Amino acid sequence: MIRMIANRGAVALIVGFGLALCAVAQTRQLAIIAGGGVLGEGVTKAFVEPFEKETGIKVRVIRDQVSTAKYMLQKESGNIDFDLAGNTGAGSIPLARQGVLETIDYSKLDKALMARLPAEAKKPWGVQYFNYAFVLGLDAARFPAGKPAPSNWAEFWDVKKFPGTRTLQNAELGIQGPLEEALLADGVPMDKLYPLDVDRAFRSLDRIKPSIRKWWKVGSEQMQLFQSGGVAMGMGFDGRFIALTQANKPVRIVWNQAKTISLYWTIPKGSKNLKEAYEFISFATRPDRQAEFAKLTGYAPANPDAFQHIPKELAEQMVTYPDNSKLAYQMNQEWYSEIGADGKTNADRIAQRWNEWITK
Amino acid sequence: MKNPSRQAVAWALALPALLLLVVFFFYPLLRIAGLSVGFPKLLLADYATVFNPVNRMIAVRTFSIAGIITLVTLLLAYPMAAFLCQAHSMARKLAMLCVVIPFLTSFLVRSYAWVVLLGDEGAINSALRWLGLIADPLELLYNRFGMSVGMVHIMLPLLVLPIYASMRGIDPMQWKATQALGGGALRSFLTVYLPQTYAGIRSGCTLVFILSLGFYITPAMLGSSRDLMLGNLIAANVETATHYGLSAAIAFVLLAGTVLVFAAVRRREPRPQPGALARLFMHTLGLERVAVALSRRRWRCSAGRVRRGGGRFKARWLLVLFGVLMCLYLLLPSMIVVVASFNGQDSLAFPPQQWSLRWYRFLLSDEQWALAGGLSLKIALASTALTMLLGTLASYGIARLRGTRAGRVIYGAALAPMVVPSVVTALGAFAVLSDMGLFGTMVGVVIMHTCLSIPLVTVLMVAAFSSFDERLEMAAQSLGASRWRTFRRVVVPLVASSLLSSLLMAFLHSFDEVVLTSFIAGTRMMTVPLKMWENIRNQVDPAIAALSSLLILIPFVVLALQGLPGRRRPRSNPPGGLPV
Repeated sequence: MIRMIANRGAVALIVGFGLALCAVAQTRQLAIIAGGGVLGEGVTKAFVEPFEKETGIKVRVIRDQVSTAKYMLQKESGNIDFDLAGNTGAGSIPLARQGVLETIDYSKLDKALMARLPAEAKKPWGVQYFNYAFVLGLDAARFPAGKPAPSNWAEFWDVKKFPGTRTLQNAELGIQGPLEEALLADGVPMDKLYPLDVDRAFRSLDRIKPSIRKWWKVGSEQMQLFQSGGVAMGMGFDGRFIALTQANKPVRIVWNQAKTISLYWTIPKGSKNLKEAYEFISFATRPDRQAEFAKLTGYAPANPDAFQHIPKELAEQMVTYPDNSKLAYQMNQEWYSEIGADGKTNADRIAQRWNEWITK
Repeated sequence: MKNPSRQAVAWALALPALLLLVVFFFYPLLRIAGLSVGFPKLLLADYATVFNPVNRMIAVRTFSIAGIITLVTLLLAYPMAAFLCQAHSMARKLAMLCVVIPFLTSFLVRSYAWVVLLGDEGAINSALRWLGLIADPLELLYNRFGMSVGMVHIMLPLLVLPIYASMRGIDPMQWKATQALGGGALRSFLTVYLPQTYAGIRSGCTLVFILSLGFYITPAMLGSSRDLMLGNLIAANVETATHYGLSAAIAFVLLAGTVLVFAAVRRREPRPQPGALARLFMHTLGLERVAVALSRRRWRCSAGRVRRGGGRFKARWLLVLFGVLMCLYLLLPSMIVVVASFNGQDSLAFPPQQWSLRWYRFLLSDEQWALAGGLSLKIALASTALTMLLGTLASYGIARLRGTRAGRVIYGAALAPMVVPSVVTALGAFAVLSDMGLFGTMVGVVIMHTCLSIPLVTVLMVAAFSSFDERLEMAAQSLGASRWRTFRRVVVPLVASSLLSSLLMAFLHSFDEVVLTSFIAGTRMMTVPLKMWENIRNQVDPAIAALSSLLILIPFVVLALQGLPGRRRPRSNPPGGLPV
């Protein structure tokens, strides 16, 4: 019996030792949550690899979406294992309010580069690095150029004039969804959208609901729907539509009433590599890096100087290109994170309302 | 079991596994309960939110979907089991393979395959249009139908195997006897045959129902946005909202529902005994039968042979036709994935326009996938080793404590991780591992995988240890062998094949785990299933199909390993002979 216990102890010791060996400590490093798919690929190629080469800092890229849980965990356990994350305003503002985001110290960033960024790109909780848009995409095979096709959200809502399977984004998470599109379809002008009339938006969504095949949640679903799902038109990320075109499934982008949204670098409070994180943000704001990122992803640069390095035909595909941006509007992410009398944010309220509405 | 020292040894053996489960499985469940009421305060605000009309509707829907899935699975599984019983030996082997392969294939891969199959321009619609059978594509995906097809596909083996096992236990002469006594086929079936398969039906159905309750990835991929499940709600909450208490409250409601299901099943137990919790778990868990069936090389079944001679020709052919269709249904996703993986293009269009090995090359040369593969392998090996050690010792203890109340309680405790929806376990583990500083560490992941694999190993090994005569050990000891020597030289050789099966099950389980791992892995522990899940959400390229094809090979390796010639012992006890 004793021999047996001793034996077991020995095995446990070996297992434990093996495990301990796997957790190796590293020096001068940085961990970035870069997002998945095209986005993660773009961040790696345009920013991370040249950054590693130039500075010698070892960067660990986490190719997945950032989640609130990842930030909140740090608050719970005091153990944060990443230093930078790309996040939207609607995702970041509530986190900043809860004190889990580092307040950006702009004096630690490259001043010349920061001076080139527009004011809305420099938030106290994050530094903008690119823009993207929710746009109306049309299957080019069904809507070839020159033939009548929907040109705004009201026409997308008009299922008699333009029959065909449709898709819109799912608002389950509350921070994004087809509410603006529903209001535009209902006749609200682009500059009068915010504060959103949520009741009116849902009434408008009631009308389109029977024609929606799938309310997509992530970019791969958007692509899958156009690729083999048989969707003729839908709301989606501009970058994903460009990717579909490149994958032999041409999609026409309608820039009219495009909803522009930005991604920001945010730093979790408690990051162990603050200095390296600031270094990285400055590096990623350089015009040539921004242009490289835009070329790889089709997403519009935050630094306007980058357009000098981007071919015109690609620039025309981007939401911040002047011809496109004058047709588009900015998504008001502050509105989504405003807190009402009940202590809930507008996003919370939309999520709740959405679950109620979608399961009906 | 009169000898107290033998009992003490049995207890001591079960203790390490029990301790691990108490700390990393039962305590986290308690922790969730605490979080849901804002412990040490007692706030019911989160429960008020859980029970508001919307969430109540989602809860009701979750339970009704789980019910529908269970019913459909049962309606398909029963005739399928009957088909397996009556098939000729070769046909049965092949059909069994069709059941076992999906059972051992990653459920992520299978869900994903259905997306490729069922889309408007997917394989099935393309084929039907090519044949000129339809003009407009059928709506197969993103609705209840698509979701059911995918979920039933995942659940089917879990129900076919226990029913098959209970059918196999029926004495063929009974059928003959009822016929001779003038019972019609239907009456014989209803009064003699069916009641004897109740045990298999009940155990399989409970397992399927509980797994369906906690399922959220497959419904999210294949179902309609309307069919929001409680699991989705928990996941969405963890992803965006900052209300941890709410997620905990939802998880607790899900857990309470699971317990209620057990209570309901228990009431129908023929002989309820005091403290029979473990008994209940075992009966409601098909897995023991599944495992035993899996670990046997020969699939024997005597019940069907008589019927084959019975001359009910038409009915038999109907059954065969049904069986063949079911085999096709079970294998189709795997076949499609393999074909799609040889696509030379960026998209997953089916059929592929050009053929190439490009995605295999990509997979094998990509650094991220290599890292994930290495990590998964390390985690799986470590957790398998730990599980085998703790699980086997505990099983030996449980088997030797059989018939006692303590034995039943320990057995129940060891099996409990199986029957708690994994999203609930995951949420608890998330909280407790963070407290202990084990969140996002390999140690944490290995420990949690071990907790979830212990039931698999225990189920197999308790059955194995109970299936031979304890007097063999006594004989060895009376001949002067020490306990350890007896264990090594007598016991281990007797259960060698079950040990191998346990090893493979534990390894596969760890290698495929995604729900729990995604909650506790943090950002450093990118395992293969996690990377797959990330990939599936973000991109649609054949890399994932290539990986899936490689993963589909695993069951074949497993089966080949099990088929290796080894020392086999004639089994005296039928597999249904429950030890407690």
